[in-house]
Amino acid sequence: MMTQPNMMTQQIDTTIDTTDESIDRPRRDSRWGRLTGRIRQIMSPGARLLDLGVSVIERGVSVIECGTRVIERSSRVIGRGAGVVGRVAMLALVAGFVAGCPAKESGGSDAGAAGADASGAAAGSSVASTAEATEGKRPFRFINRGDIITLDLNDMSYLQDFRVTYAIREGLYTLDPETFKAVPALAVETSVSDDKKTWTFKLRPEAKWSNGDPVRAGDFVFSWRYMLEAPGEYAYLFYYIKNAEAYENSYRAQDGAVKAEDVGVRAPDDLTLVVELTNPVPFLTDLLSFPPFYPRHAASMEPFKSVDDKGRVSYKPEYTRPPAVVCNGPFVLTAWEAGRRLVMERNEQYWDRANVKSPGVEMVVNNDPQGAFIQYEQKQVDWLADVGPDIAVRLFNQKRPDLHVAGAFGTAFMTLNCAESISELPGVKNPLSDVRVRRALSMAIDRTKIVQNITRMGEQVAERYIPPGFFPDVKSEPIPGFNVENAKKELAAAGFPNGQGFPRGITILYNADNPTRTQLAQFLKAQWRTNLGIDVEVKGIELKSYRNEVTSKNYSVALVAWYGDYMDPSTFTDKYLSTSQNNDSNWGPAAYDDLIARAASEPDEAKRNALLSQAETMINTELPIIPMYHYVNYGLWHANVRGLKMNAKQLTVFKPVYVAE
Amino acid sequence: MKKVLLYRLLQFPLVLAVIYLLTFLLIWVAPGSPFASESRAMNPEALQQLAQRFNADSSWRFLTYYPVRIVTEFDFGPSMVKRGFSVKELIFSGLPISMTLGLAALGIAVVVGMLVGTLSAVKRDGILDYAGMTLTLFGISVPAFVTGAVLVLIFVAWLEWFPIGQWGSIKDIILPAIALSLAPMAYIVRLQRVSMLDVLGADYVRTARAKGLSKSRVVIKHCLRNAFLPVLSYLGPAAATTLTGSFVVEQVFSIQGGLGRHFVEAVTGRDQTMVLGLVLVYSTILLAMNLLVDVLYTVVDPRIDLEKKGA
Amino acid sequence: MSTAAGHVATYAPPLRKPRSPAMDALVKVIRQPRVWLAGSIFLAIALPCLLTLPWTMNPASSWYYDAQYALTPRTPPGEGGLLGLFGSDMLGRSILTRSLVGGVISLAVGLAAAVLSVVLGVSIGLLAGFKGGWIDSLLMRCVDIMYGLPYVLMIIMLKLALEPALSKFFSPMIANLVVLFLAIGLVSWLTLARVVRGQVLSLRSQPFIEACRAVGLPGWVIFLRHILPNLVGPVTVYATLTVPQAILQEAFLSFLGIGIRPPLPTWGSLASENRTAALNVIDPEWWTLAFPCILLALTLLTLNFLGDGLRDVFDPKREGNKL
Repeated sequence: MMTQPNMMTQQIDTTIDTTDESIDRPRRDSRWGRLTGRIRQIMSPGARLLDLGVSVIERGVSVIECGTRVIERSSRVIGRGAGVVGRVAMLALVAGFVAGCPAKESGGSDAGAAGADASGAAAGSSVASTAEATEGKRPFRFINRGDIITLDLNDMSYLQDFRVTYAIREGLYTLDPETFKAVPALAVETSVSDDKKTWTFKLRPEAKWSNGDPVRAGDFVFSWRYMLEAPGEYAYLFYYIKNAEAYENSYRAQDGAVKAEDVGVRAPDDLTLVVELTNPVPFLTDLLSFPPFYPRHAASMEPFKSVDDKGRVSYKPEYTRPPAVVCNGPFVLTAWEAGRRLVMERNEQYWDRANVKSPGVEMVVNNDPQGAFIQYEQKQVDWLADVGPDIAVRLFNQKRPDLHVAGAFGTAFMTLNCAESISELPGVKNPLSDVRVRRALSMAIDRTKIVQNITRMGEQVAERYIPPGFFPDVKSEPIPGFNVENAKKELAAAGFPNGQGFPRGITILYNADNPTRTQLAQFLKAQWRTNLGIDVEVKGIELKSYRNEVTSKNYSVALVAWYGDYMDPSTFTDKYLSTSQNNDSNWGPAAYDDLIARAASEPDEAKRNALLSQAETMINTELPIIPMYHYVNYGLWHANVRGLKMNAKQLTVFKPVYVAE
Repeated sequence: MKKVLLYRLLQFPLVLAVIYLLTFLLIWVAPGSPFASESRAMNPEALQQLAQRFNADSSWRFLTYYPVRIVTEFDFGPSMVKRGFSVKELIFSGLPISMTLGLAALGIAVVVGMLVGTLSAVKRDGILDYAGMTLTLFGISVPAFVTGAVLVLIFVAWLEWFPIGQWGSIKDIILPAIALSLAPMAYIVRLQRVSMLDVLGADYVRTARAKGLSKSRVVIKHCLRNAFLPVLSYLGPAAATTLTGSFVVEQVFSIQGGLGRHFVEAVTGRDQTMVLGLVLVYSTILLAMNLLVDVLYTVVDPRIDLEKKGA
Repeated sequence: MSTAAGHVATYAPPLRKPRSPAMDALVKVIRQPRVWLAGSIFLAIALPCLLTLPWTMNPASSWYYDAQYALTPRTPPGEGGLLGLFGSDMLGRSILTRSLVGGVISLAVGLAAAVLSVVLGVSIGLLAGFKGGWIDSLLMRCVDIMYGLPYVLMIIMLKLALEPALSKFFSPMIANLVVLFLAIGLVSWLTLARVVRGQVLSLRSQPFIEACRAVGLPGWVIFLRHILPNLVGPVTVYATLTVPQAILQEAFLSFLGIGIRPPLPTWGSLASENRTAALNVIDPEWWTLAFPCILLALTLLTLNFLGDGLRDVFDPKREGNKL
């Protein structure tokens, strides 16, 4: 175990030998390390090229940033008059140089020593020494789910991106690390008008950005408006705000019909934010704790501004990268190597820094479940946020104490295309448009076999669409469960006794990169064959094509999932509004829309819940979707990790997290 | 000779242009877009606006805007999936990783492959022949993701001889390089054996033996050089594929940031600029390697003349 | 490289009593342990796969390849009689029956790819090498371009383009299979084309070809009688290498999730779908991967040896290549 840290530091030594930095860096000599270093230098295929490269490129270029920085620098050098040919030659040289450095060690040159050393042993970092003493002596290291896609609040939609954002940014509200309920962060005082449509927030005066600027109400106004001016997937959450959707459309068209000032978010003074809503939104604080609602620092984004030919302003996503990025969360982003790692250090400007317990957080990328698990077992990382299902199941069976499981705020189901005619069945009436067929299909699935033999993580069999336990006041009727006799009767009533005459061509569509769905699809095919006598196809396709087929409603049956965005039943029920972009089932009776609309404008909690219960009952009985099971979340962290807690929405509050010795 | 070289070099841009065009057509026709919503649906106009932010709202940009930028600025544009990073920096940060791994693998493959292949031919039908062939052929008898995972299981998880998920020291490279070398090695062994057998039957070899030269001397001095040609022709494409990284090996050995993963992720994510950039870099390496092989042909076998016209 | 001596040997008057060519080949095969040993192992694997098809493809049979819960899920080998000889997978399907069907499909994929690549690769390589000049340049640039195109993208595109069209004529399952054959075959001829061209280039400059030309033999005779036979060696080697390679290619596509469409198995897809369960640090369900992989490895090994042996049988220069 101990050899690895040694090796890592040794790499730093040998590769930076040619630069000044080796002088600043504590040398960690060991005979073995020196030997391997020497051998590597000799054996490195581009050793001579390396020398050549160094002579040309300024000294002090650390090997780590090979790709990025070197090229930037060289192109700057070239920029002074060299032509295209020179440029290509230079790049070839750079490529040679880069290739000559097999060492791509994990310490960033500009990243600062603290978060950089992969061994963590060299924690005598500059940050730790200047700051108040933290409880964690070394950075907290974790493997996220895959690599970061974007840290631009507008375009974010992946869990791993949100997770990092919770560490580096903060909104009016944040999450309680124990209960995961929204609690005030930048808001010190919240008042709601009588009609529950106008909210006024007083901001924390001592809150600062990482560059020392104070966080002002204007930063929220700027950020929220920009959300609508360059909308991404979560812009729809802003539609609760007065004129938000209209402004988004108007800004896109640049017709000036709705002005920025018309949007229901205003800053009467630096420390007051007023939000006007179209409807009462009981879960607004929950929304405010969600990254899309976080403020942004306009001045630091200015260099990345671009205006398109229509006059629409957007900011290049490069603004999210260090050193340009300005954050206001407990940590600041100091290094980001795409596809490899991300380093965050304690934010010394953070208003509540006394309660930030770790000197830093480091995200390591590893896409291979087995490799990630070995890294975890060898204690290279403290937290494995995403455990491969096959590994998790085994740990679950072993009752490993460091495996943490919690019911998730999400449901696995299949969506049925309820249109009268679909492309897969040309010239035939789509049997799935008949509710009796849908009920038969639902009743022919033995869901306990799914959770016992396929998922095996203690998932609950789905009896309803909305995951159980979150909204005790929403009482809907359950879906028709497993009952082969009744399933056969329903199918016969629909005109297909024992499956006779059931049109061939119904296909279960799923994304083939997901092993669980691959098994699930095969299981469902066999269930329907044996229990109903109908033959369906199974079609696993690659992810992008799958999404394309589902969103364009070009399928008959598709395996999908839905995770709630905020703690309210409407995050589930809104999906099946006939007007919803997310409704991909071709189902949407007016009665359902009416129920949802009434619930949305209902200020009384009990009446609202009753309306939403009715809406969910409609889904559970008419079955545009067939719920199968409710997900669980699981993660692995070592016993010396403090402050982490598993929760339904896979949220992470990094503030109290640290690694105890 | 020089004329041919120049001629081939002049063909480079043309070939690259055609590759660019065809690749563009492929991604353009492929369903799904890099901007299609991932979890929450967006309306089509919003998607269009998003694409415009990345200069990808119209496919004409890939025929007018981007090629010009590539030629004049050597700029492939921004990655459409890894937002905030340019294709250039992603490629050039992945290249050293893949090149190191590829060179190491190729080195192992050539050295071991030629050795075993030659021995197999010389000791034809002997134990060495069968054993050597069986062992090396094993590399192409099992899918790479299985051999890789078995190596990880044995040497990383159980014996703990090698680390995983790290990159920098020789120790990190050995295992993946071996795994990556298995496929080209099996090829080289077979090619070497076959061509060696051919050469061994040649007159000049018999003559050399007849005049009293030792077996090993004949093999090394007279046969190896001539038996090398088929291997050489295979080395071009092999070098290109191993140098630009193998997705499976990078995945199984948790090597992060290599070109193999970039490639697969770019294709599956429909990262149009990234796919185009990677294909151009990959093709350039491939073309250069093939040219190099053709030149080496004439060096190894002076009878081949590239300038000679058709029969 | 081929030599004048090796070549002329075919024209030397036969020293022994002439035999019919078929008989001659048979005798040669029997003399080659590589061929009959590898061949019989290969048949021992391939024949059971083929002969059990009537049961393994019959949905009513308990030997059906997708008969779920025919056994308890995740049973190690040995329980459940013959059906459970290789154990069962997570859906309670017999690994044995799936391996049998998987073998048939894997071999079909390999065969289809080999045939396609030999036809395309040899003809294009010959054309380029023999004609030379601008035809050579053009063809080799085409090969370069094909090499340069992203393979995964091409497979995805081929599948997307061809599958709907083929679905009109075949059932979706068959259409998927045919597309897989074509997609793998259409990208595996490139190496062969380059190798054949290289071989022809080198042959062209050999003295015996010049001699033929000096004697005034027409181009096609030189081509048929002198160049083609000399290509048999490398082409057989590459063709037999293409079969295993195509089978592995399919495995890689399964690994990416774009290979054969489940529940239909191939050896590669069995390895891919079971790999995380079977090669797990904890509690590995080794049997789900081991048996398909052993069959796969044995088949590919024997195919490789078979290729070697066949080359020795049919190569005109086989005599006396010993130091």
